[in-house]
Amino acid sequence: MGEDARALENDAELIARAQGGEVEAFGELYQRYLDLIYRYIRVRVAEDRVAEDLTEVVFLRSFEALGRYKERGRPFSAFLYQVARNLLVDHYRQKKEEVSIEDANQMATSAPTADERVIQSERVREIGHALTSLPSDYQEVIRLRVIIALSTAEVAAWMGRSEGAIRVLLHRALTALRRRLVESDE
Amino acid sequence: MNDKMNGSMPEILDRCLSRNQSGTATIKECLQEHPEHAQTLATLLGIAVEVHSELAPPEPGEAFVSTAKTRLLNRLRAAQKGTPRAEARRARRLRWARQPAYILASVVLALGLLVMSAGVARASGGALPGDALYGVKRTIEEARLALTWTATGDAALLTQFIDGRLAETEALLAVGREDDLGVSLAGYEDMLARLIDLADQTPISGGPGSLEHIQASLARHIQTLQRVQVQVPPAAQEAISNAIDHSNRGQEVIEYVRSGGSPSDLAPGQLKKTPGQPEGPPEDRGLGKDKDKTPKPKPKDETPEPLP
Repeated sequence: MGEDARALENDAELIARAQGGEVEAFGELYQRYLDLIYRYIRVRVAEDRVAEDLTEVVFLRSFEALGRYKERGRPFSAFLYQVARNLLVDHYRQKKEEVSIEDANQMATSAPTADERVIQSERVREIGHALTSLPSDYQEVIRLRVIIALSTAEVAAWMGRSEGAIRVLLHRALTALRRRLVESDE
Repeated sequence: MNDKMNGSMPEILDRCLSRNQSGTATIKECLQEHPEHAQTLATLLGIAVEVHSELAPPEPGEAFVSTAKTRLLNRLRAAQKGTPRAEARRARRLRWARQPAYILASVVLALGLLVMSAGVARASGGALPGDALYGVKRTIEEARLALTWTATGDAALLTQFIDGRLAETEALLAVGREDDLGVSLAGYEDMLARLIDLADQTPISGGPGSLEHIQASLARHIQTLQRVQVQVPPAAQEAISNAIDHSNRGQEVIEYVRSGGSPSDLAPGQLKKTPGQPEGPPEDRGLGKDKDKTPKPKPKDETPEPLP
């Protein structure tokens, strides 16, 4: 049995217990996926504090919706990802502030010098601007496969596509990003 | 190594990226392995590495990690205490239905029925509520749902069966069997609620099972129900009206999902029951034997609100 299959099996057991109302079992799932979900959200929002709050809400909503969860061969993380995406849509809608990815990552950098900060922030802004001008599925595949560095299989499960489709999407997305960066340099 | 052995450009790019991310190969090594694509690979891998190094998010803070689990579990326990009894009953029912033994028994029963009763099954296709073979027809439908492996497949079948419930309603009216309308309408509402639960797991566009297809079906259902409503006796009109309300709310939920929301964002049971709506299946709400019963006023519709 491969690692993915083992993880699925372990998750299934914890999910069944959590669906039976066992909060501690859900706590195990939380511990397992906290880092992944936090990082996905942190890419999309500007502040650590907001990312932490949203991460907690993702798990609260997931627990509430657990009764409707069916495994269907997709990992539990894909379910959490769907909840996180929906929550981010709500978040942007409610706050009416689309936080740019460059701002988000500018805050994430660790204490550079003043000069470094100017140079770094310009490049971060440039890349962030080019990224956010791409079609949404291009943006998403770059966020998941390149920025968060998920495996192709995980990205395929999260985005509900085949691994082959993700490879093609990534190739097109990086090509388009390169084109945008070249255009912005000119 | 030639191109055929290596695969297409997207495959090579993905493989090189994976190896670079796992630290098993440098970009330079990848380029040496694929000299025919070296230029393109160097550009795209270079961008990928730069994007990662510039935009990778930080790890969650230690303080957050150490306290968040306890806080979450406390909130979940508190939320559990406040769960309404109806939701708890529903959760228990769902848990029971998810038991492996139950699923296995359903599949075995379904297979048995399919294999041994092919003739009966065929004959049951046109059965109406109240007919001897109607139970067989519904059992076969559930078996087909149990044998589907994807949410889109489930959604396509549920849409088809919902069409069937409406066709039954029209057929019952045509033969003057209004007493049995409650059964077909109860089936309609039940399957519609199950269909809407799947809304955030199905593709937006495409064939049967897609959100577009479901929306088109719901629009057709509402037209059919409105046409039927003027043909039924007064005692049955409330049940038809409820079915129209459910279909309208289904449309709203699908629209919400298409705009990026999720059915899970809506309050539990929101679609299934409008506040103030009487309890029980349609046969207990103005249909069935008590034809002279005065219809209750139509419950006020309420727009679903997202959870806080």
